[in-house]
Amino acid sequence: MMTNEDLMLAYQMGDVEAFTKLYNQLYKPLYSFLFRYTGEEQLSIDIVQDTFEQLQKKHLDFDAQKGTVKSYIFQIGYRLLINKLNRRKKWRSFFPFLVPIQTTSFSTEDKLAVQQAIAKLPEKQRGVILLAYYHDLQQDDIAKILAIPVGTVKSRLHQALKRLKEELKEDFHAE
Amino acid sequence: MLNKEWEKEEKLQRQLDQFEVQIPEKLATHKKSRWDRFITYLGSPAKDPLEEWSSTTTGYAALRIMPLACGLVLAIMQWLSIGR
Repeated sequence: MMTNEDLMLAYQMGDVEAFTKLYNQLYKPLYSFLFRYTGEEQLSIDIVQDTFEQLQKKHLDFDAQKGTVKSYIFQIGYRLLINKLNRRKKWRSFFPFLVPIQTTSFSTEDKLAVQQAIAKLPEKQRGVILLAYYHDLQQDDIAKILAIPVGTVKSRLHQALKRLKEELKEDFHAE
Repeated sequence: MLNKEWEKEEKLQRQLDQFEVQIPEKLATHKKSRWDRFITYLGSPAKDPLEEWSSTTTGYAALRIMPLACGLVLAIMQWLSIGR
């Protein structure tokens, strides 16, 4: 199987099929990250589509020496997500009744304590813990995706772990 | 560095592993256009702006009386302007 970097290089050389393969290899991890971050299925789907649309436009900007394809795509996705969430907040403050009711895809019964705990984390800490744990990304990559210094990644991860453990304290005792 | 952080947190790891994500099938095949998304947005349920009023008896009564009161005020204003 070709690596993401090989596929990206092929796409940059004009191989359109490589883009489809790249999409097939990366849409699942990107969707998982976005869904765990927002808890909203439709929003996550839209951002995945927008991310790859933007990748089609900006694929020549990718430089393999600056980072991996995965972190490049996550970076685009995260920026789009934050822009969308900020825009939504603005709309909500101007026209509270025009904003659609959020249909969170976790059902109340099935919602695990860990999902609630992650949702309660401040956005800044949530991004770090999701990328570090579920996507096994290195600090450098996380720093690039979130556009923060590496030192901040470390401190946010530490704070997030502390907070998660506090939130899940009861579940720890139950085990 | 990050791996070391996680190694210490076995219980937390077990908890985090429970959070699985189901990937929607339509993501692999379906590509919604911006226009489709806009239509979905327009068609999605929105909050009732008068919900707080209509949920209480007093508020509901006020909502019914308000058009009448406005009509009366407009009529009086017109009557006053004609009288001048």
